[in-house]
Amino acid sequence: MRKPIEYYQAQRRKGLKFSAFLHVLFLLLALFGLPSFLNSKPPEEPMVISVEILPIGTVTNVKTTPEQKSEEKKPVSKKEAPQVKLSEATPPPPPEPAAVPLPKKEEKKPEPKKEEPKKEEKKKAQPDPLDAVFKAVQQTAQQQKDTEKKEEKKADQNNPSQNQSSRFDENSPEMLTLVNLVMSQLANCWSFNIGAKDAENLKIPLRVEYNEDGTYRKVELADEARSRYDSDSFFRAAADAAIRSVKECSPLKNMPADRYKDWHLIDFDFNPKFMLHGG
Amino acid sequence: MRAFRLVTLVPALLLVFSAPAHAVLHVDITKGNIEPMPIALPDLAGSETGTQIMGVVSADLERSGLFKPIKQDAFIEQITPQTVTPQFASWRQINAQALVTGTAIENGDKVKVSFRLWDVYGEEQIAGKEYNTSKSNWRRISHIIADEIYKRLTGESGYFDSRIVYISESGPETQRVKRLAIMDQDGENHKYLSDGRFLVLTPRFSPNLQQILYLSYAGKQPRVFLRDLQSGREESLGTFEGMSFAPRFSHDGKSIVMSIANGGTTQIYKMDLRNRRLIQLTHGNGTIDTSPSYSPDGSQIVFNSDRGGSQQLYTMNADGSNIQRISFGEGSYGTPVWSPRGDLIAFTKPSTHGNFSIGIMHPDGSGEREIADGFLAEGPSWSPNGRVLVFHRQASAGSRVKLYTVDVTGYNLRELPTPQDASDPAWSPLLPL
Repeated sequence: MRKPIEYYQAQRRKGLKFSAFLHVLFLLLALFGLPSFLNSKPPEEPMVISVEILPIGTVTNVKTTPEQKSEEKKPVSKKEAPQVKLSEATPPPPPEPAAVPLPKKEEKKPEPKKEEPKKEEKKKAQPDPLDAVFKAVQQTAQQQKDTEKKEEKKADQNNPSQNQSSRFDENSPEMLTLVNLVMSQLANCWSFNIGAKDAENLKIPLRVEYNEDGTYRKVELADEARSRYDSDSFFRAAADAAIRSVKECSPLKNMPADRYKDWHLIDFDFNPKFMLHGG
Repeated sequence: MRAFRLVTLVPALLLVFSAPAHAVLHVDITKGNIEPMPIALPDLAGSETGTQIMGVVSADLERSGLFKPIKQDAFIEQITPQTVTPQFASWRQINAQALVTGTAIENGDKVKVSFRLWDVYGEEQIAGKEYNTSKSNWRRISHIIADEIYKRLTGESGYFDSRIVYISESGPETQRVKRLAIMDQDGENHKYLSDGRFLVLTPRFSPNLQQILYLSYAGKQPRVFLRDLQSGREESLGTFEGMSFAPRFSHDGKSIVMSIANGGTTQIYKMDLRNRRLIQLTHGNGTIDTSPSYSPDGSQIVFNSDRGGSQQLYTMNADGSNIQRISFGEGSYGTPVWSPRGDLIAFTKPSTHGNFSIGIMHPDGSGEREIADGFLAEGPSWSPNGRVLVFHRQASAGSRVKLYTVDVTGYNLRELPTPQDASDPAWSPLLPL
């Protein structure tokens, strides 16, 4: 029996809604989940960082509430400062119902508003269980986007000069502190055979995954170095020494738990060149 | 239609709820330490021979300067013949980075020796071998095991299973007695090869270890002699017009290079040992070209010459062409010798302050640096792996002349004990298995 025209129209509307939803979804992913192709800045070359033990927390990008700021103004001895900072390091405060995000939120309204009439029409015509799921997904995506926008806004308020689209700046004082903390520990554990043949070209790249307690979960040679490991006995000995140093220096000490996401995965380059030339 | 929507919904949900991507922290480790590696060497279980073997292994590795054997009274776990896998945690507790376990089972006058090398932090075996030999050969097995451990942990071939030939000196300065002597690289198994009636100088091993070249004053004039180590037979390589000296084998042992002084000039010659054909390689006009040494691939020769006005180092092709000066520092240079690794040339350098020094440089003359010095320090010879130099040294005027070894980095200067004064050492290649 042939179905009425209204049925086909309803099906068509459903398809259009579904297509629109997927388009919006992928647009959001492209904007917030993928690298920005419009960024014309060339990739930054990694800096060679000299080993300097900085007092943890002397300069920080940790966002503080007004109450925390007043506490920090109190004089603190040099010895206490690192411990105090680590123990008091708090995650960013929950989003405040401030007026700042609202304008942007209002700007985004037209998109959801467009869909709402369609959804209302859909509800009237033929209620579909999947629509509820789509709506929940859409709302979650919107909420996640809003939260990220608010965090960026707060970072901008504290450091207006900071790139607004960057959430992992290796040159920030906090990141440098992390790098120096790791370097100082590994330098004590890494033993190198400086008399090895062609020693200055025995640079060892490792990738290490760490647990939250600072113990290593996995350590492996970078892909590009594996063939040399099998064919070059000097390289293999140097790689074994580097891997041994990571294991010997486990667990890493004094690593900030609230920044675990920044140090749970570390790419190391064990480079003896500077030791050989007194760098 | 519903199935299609389900299929697209799942990946969409995964993409939405996936964790945001985080950059990986990059850390350059540019500083470390050059301390020797702590290594645990419990006695090989099963017999007293096992204790003797590990004593020699421990001494070899410690003398290299790259390893630090942990004292046995610090061990927590006791290794027995039944030990299959060590308790790595207990070895980590005493800071061992590597561990050697094994057995030495005697059977009459034979012994079966096996060892395993463990990575303590990696908790895995990384080397292991077994040897069957006569009990009297236990010392040589020790050196072979030490070489295996050294090679696996440094990447470099070992040098412990080798020998050193040198000139043993005794008596007063005016009546010095010089004898040819040979010993293991650790000073054991010492033996004299000549009786001291005739002055002998500059001994050199052949690549096959069966022969030694040296200069002897037996007869009316000094000549180069070839001595077979197995039979003891020696023969002169010929009578030349003038004086021949400073002989060295080629890398394949089929020819030698030496200097012949005649008519106020000294030139370098090559002799084919099969037919004794002599070929002149240098043709300096009134120059003194001497102390030739082949590169490990036999394609080049380094020597010292005064053709530029002072004694300096030069390289040339093996046929005598393309002579290039490579030393340009202050003072003079002598007794060059090419490393078996091919990357360095060692030499003697009298300093302007009256002392002597042993130095190294790259074959192109770059990277020159001093690694040892003394009132008298000369005649360097490379270990088989090109990592260590042996030379003779007199610390101060009137003191004994002794043999010393030093690492190519300049670290780990050590005396090599000999029964009497010693000079002109030459290090053999690794002994064939």
